[in-house]
Amino acid sequence: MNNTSYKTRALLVFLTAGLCLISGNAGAEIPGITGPTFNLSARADCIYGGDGLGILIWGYADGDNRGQYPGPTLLVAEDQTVVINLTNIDIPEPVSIVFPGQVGVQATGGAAGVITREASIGETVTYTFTASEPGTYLYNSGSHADLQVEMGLFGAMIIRPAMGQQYAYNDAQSYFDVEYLFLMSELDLRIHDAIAFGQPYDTSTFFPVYWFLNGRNAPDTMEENFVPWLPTQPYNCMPMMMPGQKLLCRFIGAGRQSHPFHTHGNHFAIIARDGRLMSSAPGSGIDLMEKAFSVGTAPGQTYDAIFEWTGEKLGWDMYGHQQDRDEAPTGNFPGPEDIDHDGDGVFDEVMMEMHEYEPDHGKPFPVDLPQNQDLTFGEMYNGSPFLGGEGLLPPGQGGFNPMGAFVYMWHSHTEKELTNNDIFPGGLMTHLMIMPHMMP
Amino acid sequence: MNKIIKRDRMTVVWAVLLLTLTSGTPVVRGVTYDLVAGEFDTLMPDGVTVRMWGFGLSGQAVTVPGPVLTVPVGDHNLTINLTNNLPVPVSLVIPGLPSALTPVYHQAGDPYAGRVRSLTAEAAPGGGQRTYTWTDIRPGTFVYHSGTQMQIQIQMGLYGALKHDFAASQAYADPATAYQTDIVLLYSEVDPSVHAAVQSGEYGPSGTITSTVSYWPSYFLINGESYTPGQAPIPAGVVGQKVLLRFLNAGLRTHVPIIHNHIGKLISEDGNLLPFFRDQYEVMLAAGKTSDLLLTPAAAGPITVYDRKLDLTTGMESSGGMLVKLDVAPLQTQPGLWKKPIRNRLGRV
Repeated sequence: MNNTSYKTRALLVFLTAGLCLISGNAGAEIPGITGPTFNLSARADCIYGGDGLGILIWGYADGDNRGQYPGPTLLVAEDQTVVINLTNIDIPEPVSIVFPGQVGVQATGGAAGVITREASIGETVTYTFTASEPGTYLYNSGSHADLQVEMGLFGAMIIRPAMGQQYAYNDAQSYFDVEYLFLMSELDLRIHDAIAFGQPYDTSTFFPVYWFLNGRNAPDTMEENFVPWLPTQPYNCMPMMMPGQKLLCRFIGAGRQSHPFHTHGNHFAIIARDGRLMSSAPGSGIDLMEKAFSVGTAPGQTYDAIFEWTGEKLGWDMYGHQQDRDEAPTGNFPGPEDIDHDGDGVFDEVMMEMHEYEPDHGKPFPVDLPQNQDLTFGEMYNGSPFLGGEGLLPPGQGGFNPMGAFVYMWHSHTEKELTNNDIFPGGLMTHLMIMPHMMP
Repeated sequence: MNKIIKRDRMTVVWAVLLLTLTSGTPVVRGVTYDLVAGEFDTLMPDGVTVRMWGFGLSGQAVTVPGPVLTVPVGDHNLTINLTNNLPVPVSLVIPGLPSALTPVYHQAGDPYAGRVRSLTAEAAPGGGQRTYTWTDIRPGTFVYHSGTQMQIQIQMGLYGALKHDFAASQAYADPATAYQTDIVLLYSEVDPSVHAAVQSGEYGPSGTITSTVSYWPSYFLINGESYTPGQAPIPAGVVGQKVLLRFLNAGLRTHVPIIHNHIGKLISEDGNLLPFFRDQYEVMLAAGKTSDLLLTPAAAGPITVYDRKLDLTTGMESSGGMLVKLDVAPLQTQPGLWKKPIRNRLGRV
């Protein structure tokens, strides 16, 4: 019964995600709040697990807004003097913020804690630093962190380089077309219940049952940003790109576990770690860039990676161009570039698409497509195996992927983490959508 | 810490003296340490007493971790004479430093006959002795630990740090690894229920705890200590000077030390010099791993190093665990001695 309703819900989510996709390559910019001065508060609130369970959290908030899981993504420009005022609204113990990777952070106000100055209820503590090094960073509570990070007091900070908005660092090789945040965290329900009911807890027995990307479990990761039914989990994690584009992944380990984040579809190139370029020396570019298909983001670490996808080495023409086969073409044509060489009324040669992998151009699809009556349809199948293609489907089938995108699962390779409180699928998982270039 | 280092130096002095006196007879060149394995009780900051197994220098207390062993610059040989005062056989290995190993198997009649018990020759329980030698010691930071039934003996405390520098105050062959101060930070954990079972003889196949599979440590130690607020910081030299942090993990879990408010240069892993240093604020310290990080503090005062795995508890108490403070002294202001360190805006030399 539960499973059934869950599945129904998952389908609805896919439907919504699919519909959102029609609106184009949205979400190419990471949502957040822009500095350099931030007025944050820390307050208790509630989030929803992917199974619908309401869970008490402590979150950072933008001013008087609701607490967030994770806290607001702080967007800062290189060399700005960043001022962060943190007010403790209702967290029953002192809270603070530490900024791993920032050097010389000055803290004023509140009271001295073990690591930095912290604010009790009603107090404000101020942190000031110069954002001297562009990159991807984590911020989190430096007070009673074994509990407070578990409760949700963490977030991302992005320092944009002087070189421009489309660069991750001051290096031409760090160019990207689209960027997405992958902030990973996890949650031990027992600790949240203990806090909610004033019971004792032991963080050394940490045993999480929820795993998050940007504060959401799958399938909620694939919802739009700022959907009203997830008011304290505003950020989605729905990477989308077109073939040949560069997709910048900003990976952050915000919890207490390492998550081997794994991409399907291609390897990525790690260009930076801890907000520092993979470079042998200043001026040497990203000469220590490494390729990987998993990055074991440890707690507190950040990685920047550039993912590219062109369909290279698929072994068949992903657009369905079937050169020299005297058959009706399939896929996103005929278009004006199509040629009927032998005049038999059938187009038999087409131009290359943008960023198409040339050696596979015109290579036929390696199997004969089965008849529809022999198929069970997934909701993301739109009747054609080709990018941007579409085909006939029985009534009521498919329809969640009207653009004919290719879909790849991206997830934690610790497969246990693809669950929501023991229910599969869910957890630290999302999908990459490869969109065809036909879009305006 | 300092006391231990001093003791090591004394031992080195004695060893050198001994070698000088016995010259003429065929002796193994190099430093020799006489280590003792034994047990003792330690009082955790939350008032719980835990039975530990540890190493100590002969004639001195057994500790967890064992003493920091230094192989002097220019010396590439190491001899450790181990006396075993524990009720079980123990041995010694140093991952990263090869030596001839003679594994010990459970004997016929033993229910585990044929299985390896020790990676190398054992010192028998109850005062047995065994000598272990290494030649060709390379520069680096290493963990030494028991090579016998390691799943239980290591977490009981049978580990320590060993270091060998390429040159005086220079960790590796690269001159950029020169430092003014070095600090050993050895991470480990304790699951007191396992220790209690070992102490009462209830650990093992027929006991109440049959293995360390269900390992739930509740004490998280750096150099054998769980942090207590107000704990004295470790002296870390003078502002602008290079501090070499030698991170070692003798525990069973990954820890991620973060240097609060600082960026360091990771110069080596597992005693291997990195071809290019990496700017990092954290060190991903997996079980058994060692990593050396060079730090150049830009300001005087305390530097907090905390575990981002967030093992920051002592038992069930907060504000403890794997956190340590380093203390950077201000520059001396005597006229003539004042020297401005060369550094860029980030404080990196």
